[in-house]
Amino acid sequence: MAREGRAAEPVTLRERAASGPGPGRPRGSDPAGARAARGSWRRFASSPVAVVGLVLTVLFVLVAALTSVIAPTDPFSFAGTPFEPPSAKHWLGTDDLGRDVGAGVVHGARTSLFVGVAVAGASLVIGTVVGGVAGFAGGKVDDLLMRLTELSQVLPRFFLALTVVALFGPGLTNMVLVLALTSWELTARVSRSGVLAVRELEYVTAAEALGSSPWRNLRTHVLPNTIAPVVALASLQVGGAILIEASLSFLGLGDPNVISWGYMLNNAQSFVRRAWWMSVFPGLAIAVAVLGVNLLGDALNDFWNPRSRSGGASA
Amino acid sequence: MGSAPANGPAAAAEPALLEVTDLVKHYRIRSRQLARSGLSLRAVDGVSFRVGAGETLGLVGESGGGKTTVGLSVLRLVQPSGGTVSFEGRDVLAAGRVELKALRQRMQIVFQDPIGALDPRKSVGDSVAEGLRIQGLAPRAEARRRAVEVLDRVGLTPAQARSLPHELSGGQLQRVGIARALVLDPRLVVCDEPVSALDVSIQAQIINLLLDLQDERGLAYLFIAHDLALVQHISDRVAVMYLGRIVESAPAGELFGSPAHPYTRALLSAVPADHPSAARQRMVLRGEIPSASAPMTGCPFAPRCPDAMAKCSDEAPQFKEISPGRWAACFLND
Amino acid sequence: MTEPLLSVEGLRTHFFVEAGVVKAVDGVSLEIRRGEVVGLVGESGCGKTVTSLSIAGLIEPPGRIVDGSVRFDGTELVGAPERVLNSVRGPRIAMIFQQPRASLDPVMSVGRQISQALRSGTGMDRPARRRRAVELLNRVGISDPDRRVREYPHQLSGGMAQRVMIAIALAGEPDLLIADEPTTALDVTVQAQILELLRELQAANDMAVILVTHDLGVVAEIADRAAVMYAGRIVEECSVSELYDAPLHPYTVGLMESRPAASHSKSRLRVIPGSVPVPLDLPVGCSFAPRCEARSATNLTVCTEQAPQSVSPRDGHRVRCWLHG
Repeated sequence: MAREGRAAEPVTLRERAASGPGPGRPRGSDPAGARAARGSWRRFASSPVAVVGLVLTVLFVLVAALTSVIAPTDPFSFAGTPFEPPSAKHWLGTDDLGRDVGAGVVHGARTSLFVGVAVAGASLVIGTVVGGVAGFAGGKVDDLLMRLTELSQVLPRFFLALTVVALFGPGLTNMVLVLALTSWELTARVSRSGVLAVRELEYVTAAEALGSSPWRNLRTHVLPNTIAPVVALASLQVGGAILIEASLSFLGLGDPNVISWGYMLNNAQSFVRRAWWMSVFPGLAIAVAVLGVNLLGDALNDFWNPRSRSGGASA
Repeated sequence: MGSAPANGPAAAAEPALLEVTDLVKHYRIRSRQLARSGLSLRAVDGVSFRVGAGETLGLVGESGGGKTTVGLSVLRLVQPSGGTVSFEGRDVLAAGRVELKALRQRMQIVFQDPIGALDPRKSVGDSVAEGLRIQGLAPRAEARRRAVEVLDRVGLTPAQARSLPHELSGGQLQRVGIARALVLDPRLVVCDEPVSALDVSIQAQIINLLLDLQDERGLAYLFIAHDLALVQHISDRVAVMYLGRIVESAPAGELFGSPAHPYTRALLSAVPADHPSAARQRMVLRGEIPSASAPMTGCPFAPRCPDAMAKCSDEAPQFKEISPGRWAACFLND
Repeated sequence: MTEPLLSVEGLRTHFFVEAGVVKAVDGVSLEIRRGEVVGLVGESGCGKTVTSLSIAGLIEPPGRIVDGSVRFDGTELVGAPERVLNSVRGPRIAMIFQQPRASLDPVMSVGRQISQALRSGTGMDRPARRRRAVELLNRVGISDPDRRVREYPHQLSGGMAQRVMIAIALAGEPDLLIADEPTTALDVTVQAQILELLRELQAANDMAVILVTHDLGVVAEIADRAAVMYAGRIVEECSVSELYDAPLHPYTVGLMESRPAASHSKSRLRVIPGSVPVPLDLPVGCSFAPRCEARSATNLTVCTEQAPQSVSPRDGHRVRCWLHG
């Protein structure tokens, strides 16, 4: 049903404070929520894709988190003689300068995870805000924000990243900024369409009938009920960001002061025949990490997609 | 349509709880082909009625008749294009943000789809308590306690108050919907098809609950439904809508006993029989409700009316009092 | 007495889901004679739709007919090969559903959809099928059928779409029409039109009809006999006039009395306490016992211990209740 008079009204701080708990606040021991969570976990864990994705992702995150325990040495330091094949001392061998490939792979996980999470997180925030506001406010605001989104969509990410690195010099921060600013458009679209669907539902109207302001409605009812596919999408974006970072580093445009899988591959390309381990292990690491987060994202997407929920028998 | 309130002058002596005058709601048509023609969908086209304190006004008609839009307009959940809505003497449509919020504490709504009307992520107790929190009437613990009380009144246990919506049945969820409206202690509850999504045996439970609550609290209902037997059962007065207009309004018994408008007669005759012996004779209307976007001169019901006369398609009949307390818009009553 | 057109014996259709076995239909027996209209009545979840789908051989996993027989005009349908089912389903047993528009293919013209239904078995060529499609549309009361035959489902109103569904169902001149809540989604004046049409077609073609509905009024309108279902079983089966004048099962009595009636305005309605049991967790004994006021009045203990058998206290009237057995 078309509605008028829905234009967003300004919200004062006092009203914000008076209007109850926000969606993200922890609820303590809410039995209903806990019960729902248990049931959801069983359903989630029943999918093999979900389990594999989750295991690989956890592995990836653990390696990145425990870098200093697993490989305490500086990956740039010389650990042995050049081109040592994998052995008990250097599990994954050494590179052309005698640096430990294993240490590089482990420290590279940290770099990749940082880039992936930073980019996906930024696009989650920007996309949700832009899409949420566009969908909820509608009208001219919606038109303006969606034109902006389209503008971001037509910017070629990879070449923009190349240009920025060429202009401002290689650096992890620059790269994350460029990728974040060019990757939120899909999130914004998904978020907007979710908001458009949910805001017409009767429970939103019901809250409005109870006296709830539009902003309170957006915060407590609309966004929490549309966030699921957006989070699933963010998980997929982690993988995309990791790949782009690796590609740029492979082309020698990565941050030279930070070890990364792409940098290691770049270094390895001249020695593919002589020292296969230099390229195989970083390559495997990229594949496993991206596969893990992508499977997890797919599984989350399926899990939250109402159409994929199995219904019981009806009479 | 005249602006005379559908309850007639008898009721006009005392101020009504709710008075709706000449309510109009047009929707712009989104379709590109039709937008150029400048047409708009007249969902509600000049509706007037009043509801007294503790009274039930039934609003019946088929889908596309504009009943739901009237209900939403009363709480200003849609913004009407014209007319006035006055509740307890205050102008709902002119109310500012603060006043509107206060008004919505005094009038509430119960929706048709019990599951769709509840946030799937919140326990039903929290959904009921939400109104108290929004209106700033109670701190959180107090709001929860009162929610459990009201849920108990409508027949749900404290354990069920902690359930998520998908864990309850349709009938239970509709009780939650009623509790959510009641917790603010309103004077008027708009019931928009409150039982049509429920099973027969559960419908009766909900209807009884609504009747009991009305007795206890002196609630007034604007009861919107397509089921005539139901409306007749629960209402003091009934208004029949067709294509955005009220075509007839009368005390429930009289309307069903001797309908004055041909559409009311057709509706009554279309209701499935309440006994097989009554089944096999009836007046079956031709055609279906046309879209409300076609420009209309004359009576909106004329194209389907078995009694239509030549002037019916040229001139719209006035909505006027045909006998004390009975109003209809039809030339046959002249 | 002649052999019934359809004879269902001890039908059990269960759904094997993660949470357990849903016994949606649990021992249904029913006979339909030629040209007879039987109303299959019950509330949501009682198994009426699953019964009708089982008869038409349309049960899909996780559902399965685990026991019983469905004999149609001498042919056993349970366990029959797909070839046999296809020769029966469509031409001889046709179905219409609650959501007519969802049952029509949105990208195919109305004429082609009817034409497709005519292709199997009739041996008609394309122009003949086209002419027959127009005839059928005319038959179901669609005005200007020459134009409508070229239209697509989104151009039809709900009532019109249901008429088209009926035309498709009639294409094979079926002996049995299963109508699953055919008017529930329609407005009351349109519902009256569709019921009138069904009644007229049924009489003209001497077609048997199983009308699946929750609406007792619809049954009164059109059915000769009624079968009332509760929790996967038929609890009462009788002529429609007996259903209204002398129902026997406490559930049927409760259903009849819980309808709002004109005479006692604003009074409390009789209610059946509680709600329909979850089919995963049916009570031992009679499924209706926990809600049964007649049981609490008479204090019968057998109700909660043993499921009642179907008995026939009157000719042509069967009931599953310990009060009558």
